[in-house]
Amino acid sequence: MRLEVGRFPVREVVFGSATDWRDGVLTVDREGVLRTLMSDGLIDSVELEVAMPGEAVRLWPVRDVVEPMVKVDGPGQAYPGMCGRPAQMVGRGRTHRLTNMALVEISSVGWHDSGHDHVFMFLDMVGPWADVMPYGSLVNLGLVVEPKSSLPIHEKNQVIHGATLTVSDLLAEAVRDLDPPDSEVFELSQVTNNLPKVVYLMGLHSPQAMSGSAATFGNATYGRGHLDPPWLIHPNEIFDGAVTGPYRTGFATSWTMSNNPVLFDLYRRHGGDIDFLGVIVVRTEWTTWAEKELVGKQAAKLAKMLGADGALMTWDAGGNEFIEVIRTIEACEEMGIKTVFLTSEDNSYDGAPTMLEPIPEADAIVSTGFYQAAVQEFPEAPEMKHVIGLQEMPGGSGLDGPMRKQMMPATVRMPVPRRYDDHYGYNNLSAIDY
Amino acid sequence: MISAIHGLPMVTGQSRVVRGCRIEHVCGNPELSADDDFSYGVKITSAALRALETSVTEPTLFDPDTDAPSIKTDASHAS
Repeated sequence: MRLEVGRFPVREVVFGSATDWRDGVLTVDREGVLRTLMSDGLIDSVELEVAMPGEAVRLWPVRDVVEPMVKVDGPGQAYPGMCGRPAQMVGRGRTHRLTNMALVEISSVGWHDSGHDHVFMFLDMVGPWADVMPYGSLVNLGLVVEPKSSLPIHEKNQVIHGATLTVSDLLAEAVRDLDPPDSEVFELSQVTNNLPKVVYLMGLHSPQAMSGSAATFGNATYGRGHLDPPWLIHPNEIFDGAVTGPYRTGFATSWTMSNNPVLFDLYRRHGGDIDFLGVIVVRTEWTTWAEKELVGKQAAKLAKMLGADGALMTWDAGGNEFIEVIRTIEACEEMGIKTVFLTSEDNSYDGAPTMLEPIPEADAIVSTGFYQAAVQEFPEAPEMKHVIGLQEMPGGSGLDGPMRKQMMPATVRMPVPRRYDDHYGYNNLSAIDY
Repeated sequence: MISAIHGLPMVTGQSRVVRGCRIEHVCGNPELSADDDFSYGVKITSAALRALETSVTEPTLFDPDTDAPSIKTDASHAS
């Protein structure tokens, strides 16, 4: 499976009469894009606005962040299986991506009506929160979509994310026929020398358990968001958007999946000092102990059958999903697969361990910091001049406390969002032991 | 403590742990018929009462599906 990725870096987004990309400037036919989105009559209002790094701009409430890309050659469509797009296998041929920019999906609509899963992520373009989120340095195009209020929640989600993918298509179409200034070929070619075989175990939590419905919109493999057994995936498929956000945390977005630094690093070391075998997507948030154990053992078995000597595990959640993750690591180690765990850490209450269930088998752990922003002691986000999206937000600590119902202007100085869980090692924070 | 993910309270040092069903249905099982669900709930409650009557010295698991003696687990990696 060979994929050539052509990159078209964007340093500026401007609005004009036609959508095109020239020397890093992406011109967007804003009126044309908005007209296309409004044409099916399912959207009440839609807005498109640019947010540049360094500007005093806040984007709120953020549901997903998407890198625009288009399949130029090879089967399928980018972000396959989502919102009615064909679930045809991707990862071959050539894909053109608009890099250094992102499309930010903004809406007041939550994931489902069952409670507990509120969208409480905002992004800033300046200040401490902009510094620690990977999107703060990107040229962001905020897409604010409010679907018809009469639609059921499932359809609202399809309409909002469908609109995001439509805009992604329209933008990326501008570079379909251009020669990319930069390109890279990804191919897991046969390794002849005897290198350690490494598999990437990617924990991906399903929104099904929390909502009680298998049809709940959320992060997905080929558009499938429900709880299912582990999938063996070629990393090229992920580069083409086969594994996507969005859900709950600011790092569980479509953008972080298709730009996952773990994938790029494993790939670039393939044939050098490791033999990268592929990715096993491990669905988490099963709701019985037996299922959690089963999934962990099955994921480890897949790795063993692939011939893995080593594994690297990430996850994208907090809480009970940890059980599947730690059972997978435990089972891998029992089968003789040395496993490294890349994770953020829990708060340490009264000296309690910073992992839900510390086990002796998890003896190689790379920490990306504490998942709670408060424990991380990030300074408050400063006052902004302008908000793209809703002009009010719930007050209280981190938008998730008992003050939720008290509204305040979305521009004000406030604590950064409660959760800061860097699932894939994007941040450049470091720690000193003293 | 009645818990669907009973392994966790065992390693965090809860004295008596009763195995529940699912995270979202700890004391019942909606996949059963109404009558069977009720019986299952009674079994879990009975196991909890049996746990309260049992003297324990370490984290101990009580299984509602069996009348066999309670299961003790190696809690050596509880910290």
